[in-house]
Amino acid sequence: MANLQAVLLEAVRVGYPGLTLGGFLFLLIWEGGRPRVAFADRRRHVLRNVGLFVVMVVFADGVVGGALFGIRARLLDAQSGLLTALDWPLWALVVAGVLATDLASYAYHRLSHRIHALWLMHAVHHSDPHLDFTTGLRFHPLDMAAYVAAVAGILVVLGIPLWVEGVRALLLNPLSMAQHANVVWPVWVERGCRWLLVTPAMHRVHHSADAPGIDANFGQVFSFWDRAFGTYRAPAAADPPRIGVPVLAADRWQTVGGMLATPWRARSVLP
Amino acid sequence: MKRILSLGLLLVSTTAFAQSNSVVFVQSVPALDEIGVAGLIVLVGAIGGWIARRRK
Repeated sequence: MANLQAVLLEAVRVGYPGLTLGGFLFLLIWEGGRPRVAFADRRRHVLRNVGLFVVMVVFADGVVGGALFGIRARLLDAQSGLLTALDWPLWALVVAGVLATDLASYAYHRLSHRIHALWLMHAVHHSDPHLDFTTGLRFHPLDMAAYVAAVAGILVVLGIPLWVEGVRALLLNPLSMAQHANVVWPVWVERGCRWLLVTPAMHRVHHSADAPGIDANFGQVFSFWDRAFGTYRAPAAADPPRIGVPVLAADRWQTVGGMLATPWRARSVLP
Repeated sequence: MKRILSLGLLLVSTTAFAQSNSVVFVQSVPALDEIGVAGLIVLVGAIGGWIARRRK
């Protein structure tokens, strides 16, 4: 058991920065040469979204995760929770943790579209008028902080070590960038993966500006949650006619400061 | 503006506190071989992007 934990922790320590930065460069270079949809000022778009990402990581990971909840200091702690009495082996706890956190993220995402206060924060992600891989990094720090609290909370309740979320993040970070990437994926990506994973075409439906697309496909990593809870919507042959949040399409909502201020400034304009 | 300023001050002060926490409690300096393997993965990503970009 200790051996499996050591292997997984090493995989997280090496794979987390490697896959995140490797996925970043892979898509940055690919999109630069062969974009699916060309749009003006790509460089500015990338810099703004990456700028928000840096603020988000410092705030959600450093302030909320590190200082307020002490997650870093408690990463390796043995937890005591609902599953403790079952005395499951570590591999089963890891599988249960990955599934539980992905279900929690599905639930949090659905609530973000239902509860106005959460939507004000989550709209920053949806307000991107051009989807590219940096859209997958574009989250308001408060939105991410609430998400981190939800995910860490479910692990604590179940009694699963917090580092298990790092295992899911190995897949989540590159996948999130890939889901938003402005490239033409090979056909096998959609055909071969959609039964298990949320694919780019499936997630593009969710970025539609209008219902029913925006009210579907809330899954983050696994696609079966949407099928199980009746929110799955298969992608059509053509893209959604409108992407983003039209009332937040103006340039003043797209700067780093504009995105940070959106939850306060947009109260009167967002439905 | 005041809210953003307050948020900024909160962010800077608590991040400093978080960093001091992590230095005390968690080994945060990666070993050389970890940097090497992570760097190799990044290099593979960059080369893969270049190949995808040139693909007909």
